[in-house]
Amino acid sequence: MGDLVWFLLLGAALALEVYARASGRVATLSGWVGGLLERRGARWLAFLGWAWLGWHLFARYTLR
Amino acid sequence: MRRRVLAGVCLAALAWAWWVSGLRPFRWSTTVAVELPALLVGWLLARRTRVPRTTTRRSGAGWPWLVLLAAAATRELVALLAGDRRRYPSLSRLVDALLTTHVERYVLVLAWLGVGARLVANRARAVRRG
Repeated sequence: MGDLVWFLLLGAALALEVYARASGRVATLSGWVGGLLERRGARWLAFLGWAWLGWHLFARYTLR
Repeated sequence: MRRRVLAGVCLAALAWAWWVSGLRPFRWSTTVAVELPALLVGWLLARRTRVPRTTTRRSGAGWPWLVLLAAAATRELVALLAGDRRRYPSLSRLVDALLTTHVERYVLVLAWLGVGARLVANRARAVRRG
C-alpha cells in the first residue's frame, strides 16, 4: 500500500511527459530541467544532488 | 581523433561502473571509488568559461513538474518522519530492491553516470551557443 503512492507519482510523471510531447502546452521534463540548468546556482545544486545520490545509492545500499 | 577519445572514455566508464558496482557498501574505499566521477564532473563544471543566459529552451509551462516534485518531496518527508518504513517506504528503500544483484547495480550506476554526463553536456552546449 505504501508503495502505491510512489507508483502513482511515477505514472503521473509518465503521463505528464506524454501530454507535454503531444500538446506543447507543458514543458517536457528535459526541457524544464534544461531551462533550470542555465542558471549557475541550479547547475551546482543539481551537481551536488547527483553526487549525493551516487553516494547514497551505491556506497550505502542495504542488501536484503 | 575525437571519436577515439570519446570511445576510450565510454569504455573506461563501462569498466569503472562494473568494478564499482561490485564493491561492498559502507566502506570508505567504496565511497571514494563511487565519487571519483563526481570529482571529474565537478571539475568540468567549475572550469572558468562564461555561460550565457538564454531563454531558447523554455517552451511550455514548467509548474506541473514542480507540483510533482513537491508531492514526491512531501511523500519522502512523511516516510522519514513516520518511522514505519513498511507502511511508508522511502524512495531509497524501494530502490534498494533494485540493487540486489551486481548486474542490477551495474545498470543503475550506468544510469547515474549518464545523468552526470548530461550535466556536463548541457553546460558545454550552453557555452557553444554563446
